[in-house]
Amino acid sequence: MTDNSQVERDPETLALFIEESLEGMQRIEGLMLEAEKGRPAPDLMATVFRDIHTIKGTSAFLSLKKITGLAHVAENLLSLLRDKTLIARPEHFTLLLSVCDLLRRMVDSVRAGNEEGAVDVEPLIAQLIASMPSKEPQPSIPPPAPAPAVPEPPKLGEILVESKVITPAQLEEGLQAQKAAVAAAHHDTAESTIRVNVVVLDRLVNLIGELVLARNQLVQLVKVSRDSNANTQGACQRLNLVTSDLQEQIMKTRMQPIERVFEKIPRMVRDLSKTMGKQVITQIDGTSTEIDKALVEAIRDPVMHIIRNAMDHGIESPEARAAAGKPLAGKLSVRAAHQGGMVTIEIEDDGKGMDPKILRAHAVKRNVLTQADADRLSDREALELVFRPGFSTAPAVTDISGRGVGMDVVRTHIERAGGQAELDSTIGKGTIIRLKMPLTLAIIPALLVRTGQQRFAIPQVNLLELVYLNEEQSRTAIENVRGAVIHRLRGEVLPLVRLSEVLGLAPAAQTTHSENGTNIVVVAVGARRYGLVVDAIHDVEEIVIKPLHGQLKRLACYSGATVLGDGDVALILEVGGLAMKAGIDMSTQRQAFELAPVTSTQADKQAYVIFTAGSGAQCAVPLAVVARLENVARDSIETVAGMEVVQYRGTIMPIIRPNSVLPIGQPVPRGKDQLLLVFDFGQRVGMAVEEILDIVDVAQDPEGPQTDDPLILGQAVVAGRTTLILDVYQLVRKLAPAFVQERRRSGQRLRIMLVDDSTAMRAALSGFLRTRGYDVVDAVNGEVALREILSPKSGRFDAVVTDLEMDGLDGFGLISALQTERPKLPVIAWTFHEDPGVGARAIAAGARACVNKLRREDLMAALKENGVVSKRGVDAGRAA
Amino acid sequence: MKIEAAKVDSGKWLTFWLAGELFGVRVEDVQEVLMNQPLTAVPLAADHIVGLLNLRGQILQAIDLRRRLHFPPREPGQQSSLMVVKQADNFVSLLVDGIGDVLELPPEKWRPPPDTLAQVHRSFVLGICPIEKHVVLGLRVESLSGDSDYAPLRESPHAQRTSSLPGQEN
Repeated sequence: MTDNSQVERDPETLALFIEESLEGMQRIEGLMLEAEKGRPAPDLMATVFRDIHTIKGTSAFLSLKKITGLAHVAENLLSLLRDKTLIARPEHFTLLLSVCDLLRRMVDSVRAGNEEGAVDVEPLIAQLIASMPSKEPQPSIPPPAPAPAVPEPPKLGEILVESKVITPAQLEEGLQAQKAAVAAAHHDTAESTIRVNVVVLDRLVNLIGELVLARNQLVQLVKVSRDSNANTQGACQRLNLVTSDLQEQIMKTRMQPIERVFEKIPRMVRDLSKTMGKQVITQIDGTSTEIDKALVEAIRDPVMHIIRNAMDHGIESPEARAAAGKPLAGKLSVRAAHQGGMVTIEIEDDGKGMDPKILRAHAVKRNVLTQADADRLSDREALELVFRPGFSTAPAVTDISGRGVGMDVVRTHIERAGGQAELDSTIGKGTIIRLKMPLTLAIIPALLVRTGQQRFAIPQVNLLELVYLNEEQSRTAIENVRGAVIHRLRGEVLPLVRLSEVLGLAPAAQTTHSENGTNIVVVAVGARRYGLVVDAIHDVEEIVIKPLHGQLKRLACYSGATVLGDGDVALILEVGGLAMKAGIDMSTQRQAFELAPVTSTQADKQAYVIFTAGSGAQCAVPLAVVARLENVARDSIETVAGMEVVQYRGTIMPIIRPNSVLPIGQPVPRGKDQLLLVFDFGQRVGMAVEEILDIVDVAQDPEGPQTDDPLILGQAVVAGRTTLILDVYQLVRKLAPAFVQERRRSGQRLRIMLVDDSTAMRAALSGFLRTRGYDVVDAVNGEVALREILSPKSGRFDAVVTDLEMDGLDGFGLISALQTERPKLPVIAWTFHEDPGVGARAIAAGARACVNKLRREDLMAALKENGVVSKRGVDAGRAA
Repeated sequence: MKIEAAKVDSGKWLTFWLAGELFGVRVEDVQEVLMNQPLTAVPLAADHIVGLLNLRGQILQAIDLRRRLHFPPREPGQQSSLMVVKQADNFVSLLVDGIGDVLELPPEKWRPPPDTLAQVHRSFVLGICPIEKHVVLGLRVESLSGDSDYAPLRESPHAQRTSSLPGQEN
């Protein structure tokens, strides 16, 4: 029995098990840590029990004996704790954390392909058993062995036979079914999830970039050739749509929740606070925010470093906090959110903050700055000092942080990944560090600008705003202060850099002064900002970043290159490198802070997107209502029942043209693409616009409504021009009323709601059900399922298959709720529980049947008995 | 004075013209030859990097081989071709005057570069191979985008010196 006879395991199920167990342990650890702090989750033990139970079940299914054995004993302890037969003591928590650690080691070992490794689970099992009262009315406790040096924990089946729950014949039957199920899982899960090497995904991203280019060229060719053959046109259009869809899907494959980074935080904070004798409460939000896989890796170390710093230098000891009149426990908040096409991560502590005076003194002591230079720094610039290489402020070098590698490395890492790191601190109040990351490394939104004959891309993450000065303003508002060219922007001095000059392009004489205005792109590198003067500003485009090699990489002015829609290559500007190259004198900026303190209260202002949609007045809509900017090929726009529509992300999106109802002149179509502002009111609606001019802050309620037109909220003067602020909701209601209400009903396949808290199980069963011709919608617990079933949007369900033990609303609760809400909807319970009483309870609650998870054919039979029979074949073909 | 046999053991060489000289690159190192490719200039880059080009979605550097090897610049309007060659993991494209024939040049015909070849060129040349009327200079592709940038030689008209090679061999 102890032989390691390689059981044949389905690699997909195994992979899911590994992932799920690690997640489960992470969750358990989190809950344990909370409980230790005296804030146990209400049904803590039940939750932990379920996770361990799932691990036990799946590991048994995969014949991972040591894991099953340990999980089994831990489960026993947990069931006692859950039922309050045993009152939890601190050592139970420590013991359960050890269980997590050990399970994790074994799972890691399995992941590395070494079975469960040379881990000895017996001592811990012995400790667990010792922590439980010796004789408990627990039927499934393994017989208390004289010395728990059992070479292998007893098998579940043996225990069951021994405790007379089942007969040996039943056991044999069960084992047969288990084998069959393993074989079945081999087929089913392979169809629902597969593991793909990241290299392949990267290659796919490159290929889709090439495909997009080829598509653009083809579309252009077809257009130019004026081939009126409907087949050619149709094929081209289909190719167009499929390519866009494909691009989106491929990018999705690389997204991961930021939880992958955050999940390690609670444990780290716990361990650190123990070491440092500090009390810290952590608050983590936005864990489900998705970000490119490569970026998850890129931000992991910086985030951990920032947290270590906050724990070490930020949050004070309880005594110091008491003296300062603060709560004894420090607070550390970590937040992630999507903001304007980027992911913002904020790490905030309520510690002692940073003192600019100390920072200045320290910089001088460390020879980072001369005394004179240090004295000239504004407080805000002094805070920036922590990002300088070789700057470490800890009074003593601790083993936690303060080894001289610090925030400079953090910033370097973040900037290398295309992001930005900012810092804000108030003495006595705390410090906040903000990381802004692009959603993906591979494709980023960037502003295209032109200087001379050449186009360049500026990553949107660096963009602050666009400023246009007309001829008159160019003369008066651009000053020369001691050799530095500056512009006063809202009272703040902005150093200007002429892109053509810094890149040594065509001398000023050659620049076309036909319009004589000045285009300034205000960019930010950390807290530094400057204005880049360019000849023209084009659209924002999603660009695919291609790295540069060799000497070009070291030029520091470019972060890469990209292929534009028309096949041309454009360089991507690295604004930090450009600033250095241009030798921007930051002292002029310091002067700005002295001259006019930055009015940072933006509360009374709102950001607006300024655009033109016709030849007349420019328009504005609040940035907040714009979900996306999209470029769609003009020839992909169709007219359906008098309404312009375009296929967008798998749905039909109506397009509205504000010029049809507003006095803003007729649009002049340019290029092959139509720019759309996409609004999302549950249903997406696109507004056709000509050109995005700017994004600016406009004081709210600019001049009040000056027209009776209900479509116009008001007017404002932006960049010297009258701008109509449009009421998006009214416009959509007026121009696309039918589409806002219409909802498409899809498919006639039978739909099953599958509820299970185990991802592996959901994946395995939904794959299986799909092969049997069902549509499957899954949910992680009863609450989610119930919401989905009762939602008027989600359409009809034909059956529900639910697990019983779940977090939140469990299976029993769901069954009862559905009894009242949807009495006719058949519900089938499925469980790993061997206890027939559980099945009886489920049926008593209203389930039509209760089947074992290992017996899928029973499930099929139960579905059939309840009239949920799919018209397989017919529909399977149609679905393809 | 053994030449690097491993580097020249390929039998087939694609020849090309550069400032009156005949150069050769192993055929298996050549990806393709392009004509009339639009190039995007890279401001601030070294002189010999004439720009970036889009090869089916891949972005390649285009190196003007005349400038890289410090030959006199091309006459305005003079024809040129872009030859895409493999270099380590990347491709790089070389701007040359014209593409010649593919020649069978067996390893035993190769000689080490003569001492008379300017030092600056020796680092770019694997060896030389005399043929009927010319000498094929075997190009060391991996040396081209290396970091070491050789200062142009002023003391000697190196173009002339190399062009005297065929005479010596004959």
